[in-house]
Amino acid sequence: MNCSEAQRLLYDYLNGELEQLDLSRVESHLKVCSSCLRTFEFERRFQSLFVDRIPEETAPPELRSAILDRIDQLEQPRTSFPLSRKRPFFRPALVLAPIGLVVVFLAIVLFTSDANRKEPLDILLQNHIRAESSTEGLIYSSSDPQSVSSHLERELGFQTSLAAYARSGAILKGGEVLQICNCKVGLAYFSTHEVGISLFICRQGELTCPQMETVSYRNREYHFATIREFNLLVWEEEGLKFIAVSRHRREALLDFADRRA
Amino acid sequence: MIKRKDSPSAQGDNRKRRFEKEALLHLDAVYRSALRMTKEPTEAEDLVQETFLKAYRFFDRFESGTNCKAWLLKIMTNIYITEYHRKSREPSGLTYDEGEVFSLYEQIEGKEGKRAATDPEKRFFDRVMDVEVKKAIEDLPQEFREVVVLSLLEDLSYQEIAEALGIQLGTVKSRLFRGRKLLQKNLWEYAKAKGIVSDSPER
Repeated sequence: MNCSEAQRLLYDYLNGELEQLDLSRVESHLKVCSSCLRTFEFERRFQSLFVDRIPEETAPPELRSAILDRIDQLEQPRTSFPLSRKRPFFRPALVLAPIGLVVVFLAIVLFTSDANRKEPLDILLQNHIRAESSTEGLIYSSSDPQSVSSHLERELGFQTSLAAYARSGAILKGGEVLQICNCKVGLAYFSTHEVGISLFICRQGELTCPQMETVSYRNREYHFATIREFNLLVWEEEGLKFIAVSRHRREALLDFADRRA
Repeated sequence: MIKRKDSPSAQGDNRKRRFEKEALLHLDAVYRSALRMTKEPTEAEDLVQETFLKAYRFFDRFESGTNCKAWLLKIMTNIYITEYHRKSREPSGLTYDEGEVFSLYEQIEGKEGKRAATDPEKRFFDRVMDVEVKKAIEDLPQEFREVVVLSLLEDLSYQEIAEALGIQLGTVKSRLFRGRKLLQKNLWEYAKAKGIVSDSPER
């Protein structure tokens, strides 16, 4: 090996990228060529500057806790929705409920940081969700349909939790993802043939309608509104906001909410 | 004994514990690289948060036993490139084969070596300040800074860097070569500005 060849391999050598053959050829050249050895040593020293001389910056402790907090938030929908544990929809008694056609929506709303602007629910309903009758009951669709399996998994990492809900007794029918005024909403709908109530669960935010009235039922407080053919019930549970939307009577919604609690 | 099925929350806890042990371990390294890339502590913190959140979501796809730090840095550079620096992705205009390439070694040996009886390199390196080393990296044009941070600071292989940045292996090598030369030039300029060395012949 001559000097120019050795110089050409200098950085690959220092970066530990040389194959055994080239490595031993470079090393034997360095044993006999003091001039190359000096440049190699120089470059090695130069390289170590960046390891030795840059102060060891450690991440601020708040950063670590912020990350862990956000991970907990990610996990939260799996742990704090009582659906799979209490299974209020799937009690045998409910099968006899005089309600025929069913679609249950689960909505998990992740508010992005700039999601301070909220729109009343009626606008949400008008603009983004379409309800139509079918043999499955009420089928809701959005202006921005994407399949739940790919999008939810990619954006929210939710596939496992959906599977868990599906195992809890409902039949997973599919779902969509909506973009509603800066919020990402993941929807999964289940066919249970029991109740016809869509349930939206929001982590934060103030989803209110102008014409909302406060209702007290079995010592709990709810907010109720009617928008077109829908009745809406809003309440809080464990820091989450629940919004039930249905064509059923107010009493059915209140009873539904009370059974969940 | 009653066997209990893993509830979703228990699965989440396991995953979180594994994530803390394998990925969060590299928080400082990822933070340092983010700091070198963004040059801005608050932006670096945002970038790091996004990186770990994304990593957590895709943690199932990380193959245990492979280089977790490289995997995290790949996620970080991806986010950085696509979200933070989209606007400044245009090449700096520096080409990789400009005829004259700066050599710090020749500068030191040539200019200083003649008069200094003792190790001129040692003299130079001893006088370089830590903050200048950092500045030398931060002053690099972005496309060189990326490869320099991943290679010199984080010790990723050419292959890992190529994958992280989505560029060819040959491009990694040429940018790294050029990046090192620019680093040397930067350090030389700082030294000159401080009057430690000079381009003019010694009197």
